[in-house]
Amino acid sequence: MMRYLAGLRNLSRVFCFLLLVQTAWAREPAPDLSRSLVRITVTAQPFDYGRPWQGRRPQIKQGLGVLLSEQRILTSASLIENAVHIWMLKATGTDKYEGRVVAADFASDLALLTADDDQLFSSLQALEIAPEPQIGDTLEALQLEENGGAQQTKVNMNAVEIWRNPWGPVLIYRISGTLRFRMNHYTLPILAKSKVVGMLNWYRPENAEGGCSSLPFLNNFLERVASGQNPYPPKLGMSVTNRDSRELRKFRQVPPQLEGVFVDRVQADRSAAKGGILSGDLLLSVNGYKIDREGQVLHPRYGRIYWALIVPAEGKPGSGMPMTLWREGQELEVKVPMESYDPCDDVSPLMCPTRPPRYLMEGGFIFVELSEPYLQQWGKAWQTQAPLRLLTYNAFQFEIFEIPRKIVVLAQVFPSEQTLGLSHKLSNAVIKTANGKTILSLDDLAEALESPKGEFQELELEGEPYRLVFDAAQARELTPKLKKEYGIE
Amino acid sequence: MKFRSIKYILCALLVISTPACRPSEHLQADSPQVDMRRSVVRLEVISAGWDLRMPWNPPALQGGVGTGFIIDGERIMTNAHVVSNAKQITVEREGKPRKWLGRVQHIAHDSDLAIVVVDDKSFFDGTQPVSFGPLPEVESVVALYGFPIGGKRMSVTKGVISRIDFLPFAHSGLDEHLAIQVDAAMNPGNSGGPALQGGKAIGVAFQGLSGAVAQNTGYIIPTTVVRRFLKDVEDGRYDFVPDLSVQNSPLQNENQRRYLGLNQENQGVLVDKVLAGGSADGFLQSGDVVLKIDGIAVGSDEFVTLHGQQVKWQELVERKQVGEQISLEIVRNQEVQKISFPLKPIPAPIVRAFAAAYDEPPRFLIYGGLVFQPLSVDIVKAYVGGKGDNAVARIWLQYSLGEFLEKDVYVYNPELVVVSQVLPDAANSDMQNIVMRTVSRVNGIDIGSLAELEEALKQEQEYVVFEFAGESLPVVMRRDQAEMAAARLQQRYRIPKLKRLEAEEEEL
Repeated sequence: MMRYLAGLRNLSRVFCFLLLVQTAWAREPAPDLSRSLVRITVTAQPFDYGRPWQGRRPQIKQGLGVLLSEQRILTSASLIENAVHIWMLKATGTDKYEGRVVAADFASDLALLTADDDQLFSSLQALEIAPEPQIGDTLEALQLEENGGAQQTKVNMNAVEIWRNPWGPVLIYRISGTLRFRMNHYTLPILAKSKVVGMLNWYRPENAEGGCSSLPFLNNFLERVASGQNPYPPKLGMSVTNRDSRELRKFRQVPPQLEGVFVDRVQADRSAAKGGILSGDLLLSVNGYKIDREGQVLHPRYGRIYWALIVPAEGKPGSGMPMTLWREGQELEVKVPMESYDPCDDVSPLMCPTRPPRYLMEGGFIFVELSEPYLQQWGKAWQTQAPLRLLTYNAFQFEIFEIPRKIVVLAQVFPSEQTLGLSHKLSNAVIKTANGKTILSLDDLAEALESPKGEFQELELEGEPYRLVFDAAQARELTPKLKKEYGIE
Repeated sequence: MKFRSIKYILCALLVISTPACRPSEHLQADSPQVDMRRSVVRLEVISAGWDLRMPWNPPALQGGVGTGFIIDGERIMTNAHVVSNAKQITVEREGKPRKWLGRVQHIAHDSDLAIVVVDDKSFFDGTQPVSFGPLPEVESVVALYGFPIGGKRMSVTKGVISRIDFLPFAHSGLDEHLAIQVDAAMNPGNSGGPALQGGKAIGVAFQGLSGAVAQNTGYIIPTTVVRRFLKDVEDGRYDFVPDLSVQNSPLQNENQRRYLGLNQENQGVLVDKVLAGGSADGFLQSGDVVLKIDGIAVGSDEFVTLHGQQVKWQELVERKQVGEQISLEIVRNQEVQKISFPLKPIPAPIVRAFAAAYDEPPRFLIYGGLVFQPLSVDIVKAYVGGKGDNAVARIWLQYSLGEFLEKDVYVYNPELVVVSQVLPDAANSDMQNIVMRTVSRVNGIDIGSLAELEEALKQEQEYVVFEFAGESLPVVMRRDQAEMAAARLQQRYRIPKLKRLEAEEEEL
């Protein structure tokens, strides 16, 4: 019996050997993909929105980048968020090269890095960008083993779909396949036949599913960076309503054959407004694609997708995108300029990793501009704990403010003789005017404080206690003293 | 007035117990012996609890126990929160086996006080009314009588007066009055009981701080508040506590004082805002500095010295009746002026929006399955008061209430009307996402109250057009469909009637 089994084993070995030889024949020599990968170690220091002159505790993040042409290394934007220092290493070798961010698009979650030391690129091999894959294609996820070898895992592309990124909707490829956990991260490139498709945006090991940035978004990003434009995809600056109803259409006398979506809010000075779109318009088509009542368009390559994705996917900065509207019984064609905006410029930005929080110190008073990270200082329950006025201005910024502006908040009061006996109600007050000038940004405030009313700086506040006055000369004198005392700057 | 909710103050109510207890002899060494068994009574109250989320439903009944004590004129003094929404009040005496029926004669939700009377005069046989004393001294000893949890017989606890200060009254959630803090144990069921010193009541026990936050902090309503209430109802009607209806700040900052050109040392408070329709409207202005009130200097810390006690300057208003004059010495544009004006209560729309409502069924209007209710802190609490979800809806409603006060919206819109829920029906199939929004216009008419909404809905048009604050697109409903839906909705959701515009129109 033993002999028999041993014989079988021998036989199988022979069989395997034969098979291996045969496949080796059939395959072309595989490129060494590890030569296109770079290990990236980022030291990130998140901003401290409560104490904007200092950073928070540094954190280490790791990920992979893939070399594209012209010494550009592609990685995900979330990896380099708040980066203060970047090391880059080849797959093998211990030499560290200092990295630098060329451009980051946090909406598409893509970033380009480079290194000033050419040595990094000496033995690396750039990869090309892949043609657009189809649903059902098999793609490859690329990881590195600890020994520096490339680990390639086949993944399936299941769908092209919308990813509701906090920065705006983006188009992604949904992939599935079991990725091995390597080196504490899933920041890795996805390839198709050894050409770059994109970066993995997210991955859930428990159900072996992930999202990969899509090629139109990658190509547009690279194009914008190459032409020196704002790295963010174009954005319309408008919203559509979820209040559509048969009755509303009959009431507005919309012809029954028309579908489309009703425009709700149009932000002043943004693309949609510049293109002539008005609140209440019925948006019928975008870039030639007809929009149905659910807001979906039928795309030849992606299938049924949300209309708003067409703008970042097909809009080229500097050009105009044709859209059709129905307004008061007439169909109109408009050309909407494809402009992109830095999300930091919102009234109360969701996040703003590219710019440190701004502040202004006058005497013991610290003024900042409102943002969601500022509110997050109130901890996990910030949505109930933070001051109501600030919460409202953050959550309803598009409803309340028609023009782009900032909300200037009195964030802190450093105790001094000048502040002795001031009302506690001043904490987190919103500044309405200063010395008669309406305050729409910290710059406005800085300018207004240059011309005090006589001896005093007069600030009008929203809500109790409605005003704050302090001695202008005294405050000027105090500022450097307090800065020194509290270690600011 | 105050506009923040104090989460940790709890009303003390509810318990079960039975009488028969003799007060300990050595409790009040300095006082003539009073047999409190003849004065303190146990109140068992069946009250009607309305559900704001189903405002059309009849109230659910709930029981509670509190304390009361007999005062002159065969009346029983207790807390408003003990007898609020009462359907039936049972009064029991120490050592008497029978129960009597009581009824509320006067109730002051703003001061958390009420007078209960018993029509069967046999109840008062052998009872001893308690008389009221002055404001007590801090550190003096006080005894509390009542029927708190932990036993069935009358309980006595003893402690000292810890401090006397202004405090938010939890029952209304809006009012702030003088209160006495004591360290005597006070528990649910003590509410409405007398605090005794020298044989006289120096206050009515009413609320405490939650044990999770503080220890041995019970509060009693001082006799200044009680006497004002008793005087107020002498004419048979309750007129509310008068209020200056101003928002003000202390003036302790030197720069601010110099800016205002003040040379009176440590004196004066700054008027931040004068509420439209309140007492001071038309007399005080934002930016005025109040130096004296009824001839008494107001400290820059907002306190006055009254009969040797340091109290908030509003206390001089608090002790008066609606209609009485108040005189102020103010600085306006660096000139000292004297003004005087009659006192009014807090403007009614502010009370309706910010104070908890009692003793009246909730008002509502249902049209096409949309449930409209006037926005108030009660509504916010009932619909989006929970933690976590609805945070954004809660923020919007609270902000709307804030603007209602701050921007004087209530002057022309006595209430904000909110769509609190949508009862699914063919008439509103596309309208599930309009809940918790405030209605600004209906059929082109501005909506400032439920009554105005009802009027606007009477417009004979094919479509009913609803517009919401902060929304650019209207919601439209076909009139015929909405009208056809009425009977169907009543039957499907078991709604006895589709509107209650006036709380008083209905019997309980």
